[in-house]
Amino acid sequence: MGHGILLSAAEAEASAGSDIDFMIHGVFSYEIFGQTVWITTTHVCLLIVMLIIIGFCLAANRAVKKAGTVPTGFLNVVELIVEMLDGMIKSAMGSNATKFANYIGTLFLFIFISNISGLIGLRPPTADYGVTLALALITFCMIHFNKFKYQHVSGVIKGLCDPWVFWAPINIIGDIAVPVSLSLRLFANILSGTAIMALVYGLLGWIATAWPAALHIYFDLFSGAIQTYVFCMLTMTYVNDAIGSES
Amino acid sequence: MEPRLFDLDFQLLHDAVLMMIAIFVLLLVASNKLFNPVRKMLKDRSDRIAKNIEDAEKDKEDAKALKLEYEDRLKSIDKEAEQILSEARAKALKNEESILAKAREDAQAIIERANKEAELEKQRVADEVKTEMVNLASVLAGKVVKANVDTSVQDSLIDETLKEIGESTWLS
Repeated sequence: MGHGILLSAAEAEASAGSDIDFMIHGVFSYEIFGQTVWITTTHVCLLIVMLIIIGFCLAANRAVKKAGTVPTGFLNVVELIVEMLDGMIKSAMGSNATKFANYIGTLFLFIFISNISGLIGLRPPTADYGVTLALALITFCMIHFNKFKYQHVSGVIKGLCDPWVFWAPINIIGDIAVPVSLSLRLFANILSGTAIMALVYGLLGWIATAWPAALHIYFDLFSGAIQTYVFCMLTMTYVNDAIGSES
Repeated sequence: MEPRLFDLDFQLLHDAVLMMIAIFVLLLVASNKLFNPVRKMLKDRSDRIAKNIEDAEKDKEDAKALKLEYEDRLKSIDKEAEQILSEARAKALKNEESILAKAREDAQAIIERANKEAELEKQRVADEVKTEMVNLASVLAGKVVKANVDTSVQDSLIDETLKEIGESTWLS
């Protein structure tokens, strides 16, 4: 393949200076609707992230099934994660939490694991606009589905013409801006971290030993966690607004 | 494919659709395998703990009631024991009195009998002395008749006899 899925130090060192690579590469192509599309390195990393999450879910399920009266070890971790996510969703969405808890929880796990996958040498899938756009579009659909469901057409129209009928175009732009800003924020934050790490490993060669760990902590862990939280929080707030403004 | 970073083209749409499928799959797996079972387990556990606490409270109440009952019973047992003891004491006192009375009676009877015996003995001794004196008188009379004349002799004889009586009879 020649192109690195991996951004590992070893590979960067092997081609020090010559190969600064944080781009998305095609793996193989196929035709659909008369267009040539590629399965890219993003999809490979996406698959790995999915496998990690699915593996974790299966392990958790096994632990739950085998659980005795007193929770131990791995089960404690699983409980901690689920309770933490549920607590976060409950605090953001209140009484609407139960309907969206599973999706928001899945979203949180996926974005977080994606963002920190740079730590195991993957190119984070969230550093591809195709991924973040999809997530933001789902959020967009959730917002407007719930808006129509709970506020009905009259409520939506009233909302658009708020405070005055001529503000409608601006309100529409504002609605459309939501998924764009959501997706671009996540994409750009993670891409910048990925680009900087690639530059550090690509340009500094052997000098980039050990100390980039600090950069990983910032760009992968800190920024990754923050962006995950922001994305989920905004999704919950928008959806809650769509539901709650009437009731 | 040229290396890409950000393009608004059909590939982006394709990526987005694939991603939606991926997140849908993840949602299904995570819901069925992670979130729902863990939530159910946590709920079961909290229910079980609540039930245990409730049961414990109930048991405690029961135990308290039992304790009260037993304390009451113990109190009444004390009372009963007190009653039995006092009855026994009264009975013992009565017995003691009757025994003492009987003992006194017995003692009285013994004393009376002893007195009687002493009296009888005295009587007997007195009778004996009388008989002795009669005997002596007759002996003395005999001796007086024998000696016959002299008063001085008579006096001496009486003295002698009295001395004999005094020494032998009165002393015995």
